[in-house]
Amino acid sequence: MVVIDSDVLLLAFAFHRDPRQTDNAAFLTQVQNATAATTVYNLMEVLAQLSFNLSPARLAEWESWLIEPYHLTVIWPRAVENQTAEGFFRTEIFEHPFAKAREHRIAFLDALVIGLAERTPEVESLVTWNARHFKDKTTLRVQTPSEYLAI
Amino acid sequence: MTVLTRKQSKTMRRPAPRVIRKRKLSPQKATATVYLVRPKGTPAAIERGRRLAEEVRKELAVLDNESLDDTMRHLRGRSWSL
Repeated sequence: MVVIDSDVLLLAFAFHRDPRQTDNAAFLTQVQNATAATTVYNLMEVLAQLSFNLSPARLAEWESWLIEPYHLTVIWPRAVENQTAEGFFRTEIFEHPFAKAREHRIAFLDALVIGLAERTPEVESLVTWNARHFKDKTTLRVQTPSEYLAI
Repeated sequence: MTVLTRKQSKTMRRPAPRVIRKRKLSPQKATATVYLVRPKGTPAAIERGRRLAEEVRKELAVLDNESLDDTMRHLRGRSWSL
């Protein structure tokens, strides 16, 4: 399973003159064979960003236009057995990302995304246009869409 | 008196918060803390999704004069891929 970062998803819908569009589109087509996924944090980052330019009705259809065309699986965090809501929130929003930050000096949202992806047994790699930044911060294989296509 | 003192010392050597924290961060527990939501994947859902995605792309043409890297810099608070 390949986790797709927010920048790849944003490029699929906007910034049409960006020189990475061709590789980005080819990657999103090819990755469907490897089971593409994204985390709920990426999903919210993309939807919140696009909320500035899309109508509320269009945003409400996100599962149709963002998930189905790319066969995206969404990864959500789950509480451990008998964990309270308060304990789950503290673990997910504070303890996991803070542990990452202490270890790797990493931004909050980067830590949330990587933390959730690393805890998903099926996930093998993260694909982002900022692969260079992530490479020493995760145990996952990190590639740009172009690097993914080259293999 | 001696017995009471010993019991108190044992209790003080077992701080409950430290035990709880260690359990939450163990890899075995951590692997169970996700769930996956798969797409519908039906031909009808995919076809409708592709049509709507194309409409969204047209609506977002207003962003053509902006850059992905500036957007990601705003979102993640640091330089992005360029």
